[in-house]
Amino acid sequence: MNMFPGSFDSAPNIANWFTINKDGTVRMVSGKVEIGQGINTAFVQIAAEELDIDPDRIEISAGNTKDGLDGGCTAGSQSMQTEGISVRKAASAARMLMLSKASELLQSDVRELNVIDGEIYLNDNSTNLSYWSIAKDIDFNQPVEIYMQPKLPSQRKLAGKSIKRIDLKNKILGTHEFVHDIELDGMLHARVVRPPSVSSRIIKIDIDKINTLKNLKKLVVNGSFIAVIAEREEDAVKLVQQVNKYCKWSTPDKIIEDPLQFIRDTKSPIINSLDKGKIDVLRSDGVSTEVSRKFLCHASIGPCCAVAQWKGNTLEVYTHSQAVFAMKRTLASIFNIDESDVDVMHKHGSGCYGHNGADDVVLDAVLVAKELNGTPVRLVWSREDELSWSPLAPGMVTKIDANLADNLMIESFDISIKSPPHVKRPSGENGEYLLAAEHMSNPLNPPNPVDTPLDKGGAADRNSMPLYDIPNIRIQKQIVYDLPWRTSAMRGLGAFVNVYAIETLMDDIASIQEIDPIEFRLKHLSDPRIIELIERVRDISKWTDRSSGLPKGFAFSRYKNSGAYCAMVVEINVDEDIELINAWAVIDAGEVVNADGVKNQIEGGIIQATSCTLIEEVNFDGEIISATDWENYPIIKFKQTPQIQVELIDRPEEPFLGVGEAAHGPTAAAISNALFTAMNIRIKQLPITRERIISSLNT
Amino acid sequence: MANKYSLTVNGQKHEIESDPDTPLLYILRNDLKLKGTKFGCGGGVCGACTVIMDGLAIFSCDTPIWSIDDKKIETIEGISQDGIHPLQELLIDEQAGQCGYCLSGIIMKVKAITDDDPTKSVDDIANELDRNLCRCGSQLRILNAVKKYLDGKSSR
Repeated sequence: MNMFPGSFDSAPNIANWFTINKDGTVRMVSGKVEIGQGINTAFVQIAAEELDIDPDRIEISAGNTKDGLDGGCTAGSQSMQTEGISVRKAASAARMLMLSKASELLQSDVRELNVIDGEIYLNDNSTNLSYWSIAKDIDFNQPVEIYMQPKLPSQRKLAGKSIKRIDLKNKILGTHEFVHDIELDGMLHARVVRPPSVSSRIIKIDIDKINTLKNLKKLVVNGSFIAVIAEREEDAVKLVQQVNKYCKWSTPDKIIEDPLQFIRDTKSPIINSLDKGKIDVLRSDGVSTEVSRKFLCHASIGPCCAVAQWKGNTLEVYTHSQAVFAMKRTLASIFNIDESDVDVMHKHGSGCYGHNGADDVVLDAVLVAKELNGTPVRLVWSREDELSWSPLAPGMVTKIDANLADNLMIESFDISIKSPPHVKRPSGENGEYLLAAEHMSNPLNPPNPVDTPLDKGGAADRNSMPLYDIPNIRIQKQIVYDLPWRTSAMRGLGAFVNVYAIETLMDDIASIQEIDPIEFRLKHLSDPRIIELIERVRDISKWTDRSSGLPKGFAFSRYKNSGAYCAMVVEINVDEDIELINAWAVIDAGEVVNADGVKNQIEGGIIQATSCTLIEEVNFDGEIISATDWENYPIIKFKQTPQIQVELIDRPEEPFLGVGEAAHGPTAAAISNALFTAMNIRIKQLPITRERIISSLNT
Repeated sequence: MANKYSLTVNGQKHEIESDPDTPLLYILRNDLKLKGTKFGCGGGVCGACTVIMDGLAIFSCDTPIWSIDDKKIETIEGISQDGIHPLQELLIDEQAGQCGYCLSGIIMKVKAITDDDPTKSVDDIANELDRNLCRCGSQLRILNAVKKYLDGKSSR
């Protein structure tokens, strides 16, 4: 494992991470940003542990390019596994550096010192020294690598405890400042005037007529990027429709009737993700499945927003982007200015679960602000923008052919994955993949993104590698680049569909063999960690006592095959609609920092995944995305809330494993398996709707 | 055309000059700087903008200012003026939230329902939260907090 993952490239020294103040507070820098997952609380907890201080003393500055600490993108459930480790090392180094100084002053050995909430003790007797009194005489520009000495698991006191989220109280009180709430002197309001669909471009715009519109401060036209600026926000909102009446847009020349069929029929080159052993064609006693999912929306409750201000040639942006440094590089490249002249500062946004329009709205705001000679502007997307102009989660098709050996064990899995790209995040090379970059008068034409290889976690093929003992496995993927719609990362990427395929197929085979589906899986498992996990969820859900009660379903996966393990049992009610009633999840996330934080992520993941499994799908009218409001893109409601029990297997000696996306695939598959138990029907196209169940019963 | 409107927000009287059709949300957020109330959809479907008008939960995003002249408005900032509201305390205890964007609207809706009829059950409230959406999946924790709030109310 890399000793210094990610963030240490830009932040090798203790001073890059921590400032110890004489007033008894600590300023800590984080390269990973809060997107509702509680990461900054976990970081504070790790730092407080190593520093031996109360977590309340720590103020965190996260995702601000002015701090210079580049933590990369906050994505992929990677934050604990990469920067979490770095925070621990940097905090331990800060402690050790201060204790070295104290040992000099006290003429003692460092090993005789200990710390209680920042006060330094010598052989358990108080001294007149504390972090707060000695820090001013210490040069913290020292390499973390030299001083780091993280505690042993047995020495940790805070680890695994559930401290409260540092940001949640103010969010409940309504006093937290989200990016939407920023107010700068003289700030104006802007909105974007959108074309009817993704490939439409402006043909004609009647600027004279538009300039007569009431309350229009300024119209911005840059190719097909059109925006309105007003002094009052409600005027900007109203002007969008008024202006669009004077715009004529081109109509798309290509209509795709059935996007999923288009994906299924792709002729894109086949990429071999894995070739293990020997694959025969599907034999007559083999079992095959082909599952698919329609496109999904990120569907954040608060639309994307950014605040931008140009001061001469320098630019400041407030954003809820998950990748502030990539955004800084991207903006510098688009506007041909020095990176040092751009600062990008993260502010909390409405929850996003991957790559929504958070990055796109930044370029929108910056293009508008460019027309304003130093006046700041706040640009918020409309509900329709949020649902239909954020990148979608791609529709996807996964097929598995399984051959069985004479002893009825699985001999081979032949897996084929077809999907539009899952990752189109701007990285800084050029303005790639930002929405407005396609609309500007000099549009950028970025190359097709490379789908992340499986050995780096995969994207379309994420979690396509089963963790069962199967001697022969072939995994092939085809990335579909010729659909018009913008797609990018949403929680789990390909894992959602791939886990659905593997875990429903496991139940299908078990059913043919008339074996308990958990028993069938255990026959194909040798990793004691997975076996313990599955046996635990079998116990707490009373799986073996299934003769009465609601139908149950089981599923398992380990996110990315390298993150947290999740085994799940669900109980559903099949009536007019399917309803998830109970879920039991057992999670092995290695060393747990904040137990309640992990549980919160898993509970939320199960509820969101239930929505994706039972309700959500994007439909199209030609090229137009029909998901424009909550009526035509409904999501789960309060009355559909299941009961959830999450148990953690804490392994303090093991590395952290990211949990944010662990529950998604298992939830979908477990619900489908419960329906299979209840009605002996297998719904292969997500979402599992009432209509699909009825049509499945009729065939 | 700008007209003058008078409204009482969190006990404080304000004279507002505005177009009659300006949604209350923008008056609260941009004129009165009460940013706890959020924009979500603009169509009264997601509940992020919920405030209480004369005891009734309303969507401030599609309520024009002309319709609330002389009315009493309560926002998230108003309910904790005399210390944290017990429902908020319970939400903090339950750590009921992830991104937190939907919370102020949900809190206002639950407060309006339970102030009006303290005998409502948690299932009643889950049904009445039909137009309050949460994308992070905090519903279970929110309802757990609401249940404790109802238990507390009935035992008082």
